[in-house]
Amino acid sequence: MAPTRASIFLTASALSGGAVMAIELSAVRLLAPWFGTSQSVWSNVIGVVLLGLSLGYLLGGRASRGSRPAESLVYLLGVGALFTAWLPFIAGPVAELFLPNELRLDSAAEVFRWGSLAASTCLFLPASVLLGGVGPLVAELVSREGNLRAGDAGGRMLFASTVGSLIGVFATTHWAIPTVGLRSTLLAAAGTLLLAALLIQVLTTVADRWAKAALLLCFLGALSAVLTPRSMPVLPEGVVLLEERESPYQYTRFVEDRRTEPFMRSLQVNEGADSYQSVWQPELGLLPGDYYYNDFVLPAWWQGKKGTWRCLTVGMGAGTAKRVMEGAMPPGLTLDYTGIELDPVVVELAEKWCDLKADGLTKILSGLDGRAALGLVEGPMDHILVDAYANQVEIPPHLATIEFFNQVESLLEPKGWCQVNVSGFSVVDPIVSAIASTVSAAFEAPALILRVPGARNCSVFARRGGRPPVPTEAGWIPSDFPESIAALLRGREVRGQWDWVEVSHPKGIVLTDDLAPVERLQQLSLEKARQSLLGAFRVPGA
Amino acid sequence: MMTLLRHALVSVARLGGSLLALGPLVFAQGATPSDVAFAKSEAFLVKSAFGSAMASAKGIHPEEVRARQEAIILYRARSYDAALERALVAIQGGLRDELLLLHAVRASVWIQDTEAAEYCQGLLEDRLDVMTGDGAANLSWWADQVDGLSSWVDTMILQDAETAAVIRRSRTTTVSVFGTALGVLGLAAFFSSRKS
Repeated sequence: MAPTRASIFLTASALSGGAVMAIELSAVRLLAPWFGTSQSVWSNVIGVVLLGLSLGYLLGGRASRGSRPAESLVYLLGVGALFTAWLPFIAGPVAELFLPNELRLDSAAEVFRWGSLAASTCLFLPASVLLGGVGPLVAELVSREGNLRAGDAGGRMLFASTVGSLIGVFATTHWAIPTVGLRSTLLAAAGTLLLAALLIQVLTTVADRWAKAALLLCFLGALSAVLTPRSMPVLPEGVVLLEERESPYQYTRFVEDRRTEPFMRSLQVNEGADSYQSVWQPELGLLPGDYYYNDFVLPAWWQGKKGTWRCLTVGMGAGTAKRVMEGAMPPGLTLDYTGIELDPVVVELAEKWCDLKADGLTKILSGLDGRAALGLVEGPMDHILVDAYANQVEIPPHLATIEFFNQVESLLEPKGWCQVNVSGFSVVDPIVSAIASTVSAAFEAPALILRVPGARNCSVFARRGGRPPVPTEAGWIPSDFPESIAALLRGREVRGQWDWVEVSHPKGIVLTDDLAPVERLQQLSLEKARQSLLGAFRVPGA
Repeated sequence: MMTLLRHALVSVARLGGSLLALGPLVFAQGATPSDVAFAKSEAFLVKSAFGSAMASAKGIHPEEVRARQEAIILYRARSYDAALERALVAIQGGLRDELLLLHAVRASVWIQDTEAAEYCQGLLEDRLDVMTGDGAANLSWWADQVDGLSSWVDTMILQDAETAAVIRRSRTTTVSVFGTALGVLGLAAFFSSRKS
């Protein structure tokens, strides 16, 4: 066997394997600003790449029968590099073909499911097919070079390719995307493929002038991509991008809405719809309008405590809860706040754009998962807020189970409060009912569900060894509440604005670490929201 | 029917801020327990005491009139889906007064229920065409309301149509590209087997 030539082919296979993983892992992030990064988007991207690779294997196998497989390999790698280099620039225009101008949340799931599949097919199928063809060609070349049997050559090729993929996975997720960003990651992957093509071209002395010309064209094409900016969704007029960053977890950006007075800033992560993860206004205290954050002040007012109010937020984001509570605490009560946030980039940006600062009364646990971090928090707390979301509207299943809420309960003072923000369309929404039933089961106490008027959120309340106030009973709005707090509760005593879950009468599935079908429940929630109420009535002429 | 007419009268009067003036008129015509319940409910509603307004409304009869009053209370308390549900009960019961329909359309718009919004908007427009009495005196105000809501409803209809078109386009593209890829593969396999 001629070791130099064979190792060049195997190196090409390894580089191609690494590039495929870089494309696959970048693909979801690339689509995230339009379609989010839900499980369904991941499945679509992986499915399309697998389809492309499988087609590529067959086509590569067929090309390997020819007399000049090395030239075919140069073509595949060169054109594959070209497709890869242009992905960050064509992703936007392609994604926008499959998104309506205005997208409602109740239609978003279906649009994202089909839109991400169509966009993935257009964007990633060509490169996947081309790079899938690399393996069989390399196996054939290695076999011819060393007179090896098919199994031996194939085994060596798979070894090289898989090692390349392994390096590609770790390098892309842990280094490339968070450090140099998506655009440079994909350009680097394209550069890797061009390098592989060049190695084969030069060191195996492929003589065909067309292959040389093709390689040159691919090189120029990929080079021109370097000079082109990445496409991103256009912000509405009056909304300004303050800063955007890629973190190991998500695409993150802060925007400022200058159409409102005062200006509002919001944190958006992987947003494909009109949702936000945190908001900021210059003043501390209650936010103007229908923000669920305003509900976070209610337990401190209901409790009637003096001194210090120890509050822990799981899913702090940019610290909106802290700012709202700090400015709207009852007289004689000081907020002692601890926030847990998984993504350190969010905290870093919040410090810059949202006045978030750790001090004697504000502790920030950054870079830690909410559940794991509970073990590091020193109790007891008066109030634990759970406001953890991933991929826009998805509640992480491990932060919704009875085992998690048992942990929450054990950290609370007697009569302390647990409050969960749940994205849902009504108090009988499947996901809202399930989480309220789970909280109730964990606390062995009733749970109160309050709908946030004008918003797509519900607040779920439960107390350790106690019960929240009932909207129809006296004490719902104590007479000493100032008007700003009383106004938050007024009107919420009517039908449709609240519900009550007793331990003995759960209204939904109790979620456990073993079975927490959160995504399915959220899917049901969206399906239910899409149904017209008219369907339930037999009204004349309808 | 007379009860309903009186209730509609009072509601329209509330809209114009003249509840106090019309209230005695209701009682002057001989108040039933349902009328009293309605008047109480209205009084609580004016004070934004929504829970008490709902509790008082329980005494209103018949069912569709109670549903109408509850729809208005629930709408004012910003419980829009519950408001629409009650409004549809009232509509199903044969009520077609403009105040009920206005609240039904607004609630549908809030919860983005295009189908219900389109239906209730149609009823409201029909109602306007035949409006008489006090409502007719404020016809231009009502026409403005209907126009405003109409543009909301039209936007919702357009958005729904656009979303449906986008989903269709996504499906067609996916199926076409997958089909083409598999077709090419099939052809390649066919020619390959012929050669060998």
